[in-house]
Amino acid sequence: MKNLRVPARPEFLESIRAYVLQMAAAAGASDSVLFRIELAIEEALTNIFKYAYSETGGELEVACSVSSDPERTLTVVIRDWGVHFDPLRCEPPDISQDLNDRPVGGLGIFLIRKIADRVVYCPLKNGNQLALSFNVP
Amino acid sequence: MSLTVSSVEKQPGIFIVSAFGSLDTNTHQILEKKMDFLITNGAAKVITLDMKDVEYISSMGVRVILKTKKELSKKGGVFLIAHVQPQIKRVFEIINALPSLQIFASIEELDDYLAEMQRQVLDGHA
Repeated sequence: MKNLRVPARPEFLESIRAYVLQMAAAAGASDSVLFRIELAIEEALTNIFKYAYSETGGELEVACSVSSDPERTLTVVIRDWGVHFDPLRCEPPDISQDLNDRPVGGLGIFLIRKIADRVVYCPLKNGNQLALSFNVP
Repeated sequence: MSLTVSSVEKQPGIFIVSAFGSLDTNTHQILEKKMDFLITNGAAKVITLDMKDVEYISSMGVRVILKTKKELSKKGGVFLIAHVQPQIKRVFEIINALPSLQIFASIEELDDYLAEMQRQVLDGHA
C-alpha cells in the first residue's frame, strides 16, 4: 500500500488511524493488538503535533509494513520534518505515586513504550523517524 | 471517532456522567468541559463516570479522568467509575491507576456504595 502523507494536525488523526488499522487488520492483528496499535499511533502523532511542530506546521508520512518471517511483525514508521525530538529520552512518570499526587500529563510516551513491542527513534538530517513494531499473533 | 456525554443528577450533588464513544486527543475536551461544569457550577460532591460505552481511551482521556479526580478531591468530593471495558482497564493497569481508582462493575454495586455513603453522612449528622 502507498505511504500516507498528511498535514501534521489533529484533524488528520482519524485518516491516519484508519490507514494503519486497515493494514493491521489485513495482517491478522487481533482486537487487543489493534487497540495497542491504535493507542501507540495516536500517542506518537500527538507528540509530533506538540513537539516536532510546536511552532510551525508541517507534514508527516506514515508507512506500514509486515515482515514475512514467522513472527509476523507489523512496523509503522512515522516520519516528520520538524525539530528533533527523541521520545525515548523523556523521563518516565513516577507511577508509584497516588493519582492525586501525580502531575496529570506525561503519560503518552510512557504508554507507547509499554504497549509497542519495539520502539526505535532515528533523528534525521531534517526531521525525525519513529518506528513502532507490534507482533501480530 | 466521536464522543457524546450526558449527565443525570441522582441526588443533589451526586451525578452520573455517561460517555459514549472514544475518549481521545480530538474528543477529550467534551468530557473535560462537562466535568468542569459539574464541579464549578453543579457543586458536584460525587461524580461517577459510566464508561460502559467507552471503547477507546488515550493519554488525553486519562488526563481528564486524573484531573477530575484531583479537582473533586480538593473540594472534598469523590470520583467513581463504573463499567470499564477490558481494554480500558488494561490502560489504567499500565499506568498503575487501578489502586487509586474506585471502579464498580455494575450500577447496583455503585448504588449500594452511594447508599452506604449517604447513611454514614446521615449518621454523622444525627
